[in-house]
Amino acid sequence: MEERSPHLSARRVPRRLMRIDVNAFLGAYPYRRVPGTSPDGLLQAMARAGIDEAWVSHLPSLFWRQPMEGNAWLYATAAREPRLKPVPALHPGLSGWEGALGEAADRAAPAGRCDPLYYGLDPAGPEMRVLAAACGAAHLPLMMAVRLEDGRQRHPNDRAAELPAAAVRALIRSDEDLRLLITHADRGFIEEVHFGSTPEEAARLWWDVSWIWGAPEDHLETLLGTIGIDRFVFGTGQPLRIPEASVAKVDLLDLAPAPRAAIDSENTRGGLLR
Amino acid sequence: MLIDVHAHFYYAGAPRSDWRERNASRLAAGRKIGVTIHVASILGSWGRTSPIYFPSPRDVEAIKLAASRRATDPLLDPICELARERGVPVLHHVWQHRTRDWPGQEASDGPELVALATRHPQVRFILAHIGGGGDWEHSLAALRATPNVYVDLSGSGVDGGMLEACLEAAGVERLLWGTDLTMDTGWAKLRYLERLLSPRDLELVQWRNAARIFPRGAFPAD
Repeated sequence: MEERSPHLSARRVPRRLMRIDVNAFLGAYPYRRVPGTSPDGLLQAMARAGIDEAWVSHLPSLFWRQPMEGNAWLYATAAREPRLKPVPALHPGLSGWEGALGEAADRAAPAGRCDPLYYGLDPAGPEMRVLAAACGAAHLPLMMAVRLEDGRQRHPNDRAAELPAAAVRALIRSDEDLRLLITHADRGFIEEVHFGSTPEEAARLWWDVSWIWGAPEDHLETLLGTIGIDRFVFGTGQPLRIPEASVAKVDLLDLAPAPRAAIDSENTRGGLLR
Repeated sequence: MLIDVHAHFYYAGAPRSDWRERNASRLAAGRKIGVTIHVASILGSWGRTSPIYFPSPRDVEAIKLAASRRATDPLLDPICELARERGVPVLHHVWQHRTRDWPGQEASDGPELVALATRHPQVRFILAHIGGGGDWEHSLAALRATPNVYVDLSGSGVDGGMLEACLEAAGVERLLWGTDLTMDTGWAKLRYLERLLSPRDLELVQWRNAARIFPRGAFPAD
């Protein structure tokens, strides 16, 4: 029988520079059993997938009434492991969020996160606009997830709506200093926001690649051509999703070293975190 | 050897204006991944050019039941009997616990396929794309005790824990590698399994299980 290609193994992909996963979680997920949610589990998965650094959010507190109560554990955990960078929760509808934002800046968190639909907030409402302005003033990128799981498989009690594209457009327009990092967005969502924004607004938006289809539909390749490679950063959604998926879809693009490095880390370090 | 048991190609009569580009992209990605055989159907052609619903001439190696068909329907029994006579497997698009019907998409799930498989114990059934979106845990629980239902791993879903759950529910000898519309996620699952399985068990998923359930001679040097 014909032998399979020698390209199969992940260990045989070309040599690379740094890879930063901007979209990772720590802690248990309430709606199904997920392996590898501990810090050690995440670090093992990162080593397996060739990921050098992960921006981590505290998954359980996303579902808490007071999501910011998970930030202390997150900071303590990240302090013990330099490969993990904390992305603290910011809930602009609760008192204390300004302090949480200040702490994020003081601790050099790479971003703060807010998931308004999980928090019961209007995603483009007054609280979110105040948060957007504050993040802009603090030069802290704001991370938001479109979804965490495929809508077709969510638990019957997991009823938070997905983030609407219109809300992202409204927020990026609401403050000229805001930088948004949107995770778990598919091609249609990204196109709706990007092509509905001004070039100046679009230049303050970054998209992680975790939910974009690769070959043969080639959504990621299409977006790199139409929207531009500068807007895309490497992210996985692990451990809810296996990180190999994001690595494989970028591997399939056969990018030259410079654009590959742009997605893997340079757009994050040089663009989003400038 | 690597057999993709769930691929799709298109042609001029398929409802895709970009059908040439999609075919070329699948073949190029397949070369990079190392796919030896693409077992494919043509979406949207209703059996005219592809073995969906019923066998078309000569080149048929399997039967794919249309998505709009509940697997418990007795109208499928003659098709399954034909599959038994010809020794070909039956692939069923599964919705994974969808609770209502949609136009063109009856809510047929793991339990319905298991009911059909129980009526036809000599036919091999492929539960298509466990990663295709939906409550895969619901499907896996249903097929546990039905040995003639095989799980194809295709689909865009790459949930953490899904592959472990497939192994636990069906065992490595009932898993088939496939891609569906996203070859990147198929490659990712293969890479994950490289770390999870012994080389011998990995080969089962890569091609040996497929070679066992498709007709003898379906694949080169089989």
